[in-house]
Amino acid sequence: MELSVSQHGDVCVVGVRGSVDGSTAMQLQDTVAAQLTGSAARMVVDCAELEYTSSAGLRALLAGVKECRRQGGDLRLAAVSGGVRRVLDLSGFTGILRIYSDVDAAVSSYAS
Amino acid sequence: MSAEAGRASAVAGPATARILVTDDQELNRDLLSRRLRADGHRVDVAEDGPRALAMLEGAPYDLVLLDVMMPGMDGYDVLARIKASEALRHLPVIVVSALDEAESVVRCLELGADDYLTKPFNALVLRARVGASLARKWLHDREQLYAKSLARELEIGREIQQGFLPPGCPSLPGWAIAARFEPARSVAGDFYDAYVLPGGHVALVVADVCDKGVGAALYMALFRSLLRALAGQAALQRRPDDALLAEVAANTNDYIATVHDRANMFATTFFAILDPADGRLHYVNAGHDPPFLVGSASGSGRGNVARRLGATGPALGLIAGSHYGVQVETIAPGEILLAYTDGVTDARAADGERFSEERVEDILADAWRTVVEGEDPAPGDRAGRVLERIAAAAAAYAGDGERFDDATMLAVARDPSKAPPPRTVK
Repeated sequence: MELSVSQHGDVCVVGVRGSVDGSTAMQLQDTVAAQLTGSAARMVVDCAELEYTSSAGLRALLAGVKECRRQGGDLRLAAVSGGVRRVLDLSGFTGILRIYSDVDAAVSSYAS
Repeated sequence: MSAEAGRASAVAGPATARILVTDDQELNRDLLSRRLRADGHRVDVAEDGPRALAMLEGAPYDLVLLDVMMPGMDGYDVLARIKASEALRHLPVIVVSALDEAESVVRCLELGADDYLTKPFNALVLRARVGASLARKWLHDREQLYAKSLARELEIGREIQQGFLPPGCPSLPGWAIAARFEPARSVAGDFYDAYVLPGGHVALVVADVCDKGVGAALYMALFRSLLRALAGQAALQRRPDDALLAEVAANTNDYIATVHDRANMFATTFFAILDPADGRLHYVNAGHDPPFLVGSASGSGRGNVARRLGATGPALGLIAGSHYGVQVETIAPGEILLAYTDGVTDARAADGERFSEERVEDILADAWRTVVEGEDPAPGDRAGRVLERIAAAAAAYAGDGERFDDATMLAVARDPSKAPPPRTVK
């Protein structure tokens, strides 16, 4: 798993590449948490290059979205596809997370 | 003892050790043992290899000083035997050789000696090398002790977790119920349950708590207990199966999502209640992989097309206030229900490809057909044999690869309805 962090206005975008599993999920959770200090808590997780996530990765996303919402913001997903989409649908995550087709759409969703 | 001294001994280990000096020359034995005793060590001596090995078998030593050139069994041989012994291989050995024996020193180090000393001895060098070898030994011993206590803790955890699984599956006339539980580590986040509720209906659960290992195992115990306690209570109050399932799922979900909000734990859960009299199966599927319901060609009349028991709500614990729908199916005579966790379908082959739902479905259908239509000496074990077939196929598929997720399966098979056996008339 590789992570990248970039700022789009007041929205923070975390890109996840590769596979998230039990050994890497904590790094994802910590990275999301680290971006939250003092910001507007508006996050986008870019899943365009995310190939696989285990339930540990879903747990990291759950931790992230809860913390963002506690701080008055949100965590939204962009470009989710394939197996990851199927896992999110099945476990019910698509009911609690907002998902957009790409990063631009996810970032601009905060403007409206 | 001062804090300073405590810290020093924690690094270097105790100052004195039990050392065995092996040398065929009495002069050397005396010289070495006198110096080592002067440093506070407890020293025994052996005059040849066989005697040294016998003494090592008989008492716990911390270090061996070993002469290379001895008549009969030489130092190489003694060293090789020490390193070949499961009990002695971690015992450090310092070989003692004459100054001109560079080759023998190399050979001894290759055989696993810790260090070497050359004759004539320099007292300071002797003390330094003995001290360094002992420090390494103590460090190794401490690591072994720690690893052992960790393994013991995990073994206790594994045994306690077993207590959170049913001791066996209910045995009911006309039905066969079986389960398999294979944790990836000592303890698992997966669990299953199968028990008869007050009133005679059968509760069936297969669930997967997010992540794995100790944290998942703790929550497994909580999820399982909540489900069982709440279901038992509701059944005592004669709640109908559908209302019971909706309530128990919602209450368990709300408990985890509010009381343990900060833990962000959730469990995908298939929870069903079977009426064994007519095969009606009410179920809640909280974000879990949809179980298969497969009939034998002769039994169901529906061929081998599997029905799937899809999600009726999100994983338990995800978000407070979730609503859980209840669906109903009928397990007809000759049909089998298979609920499983993704550790089964996600088992990977060497090339990284997953075992997959499709393969599980194919093997399930094939195994079930064989079991129902083949000569079946023990109908009660039908479900177990189907699970064995799937587990064997998944294991063969994954090859030698390390299991990376817990794998659990629960099968509920209904006996085929049989016409009464034809009477033989002579």
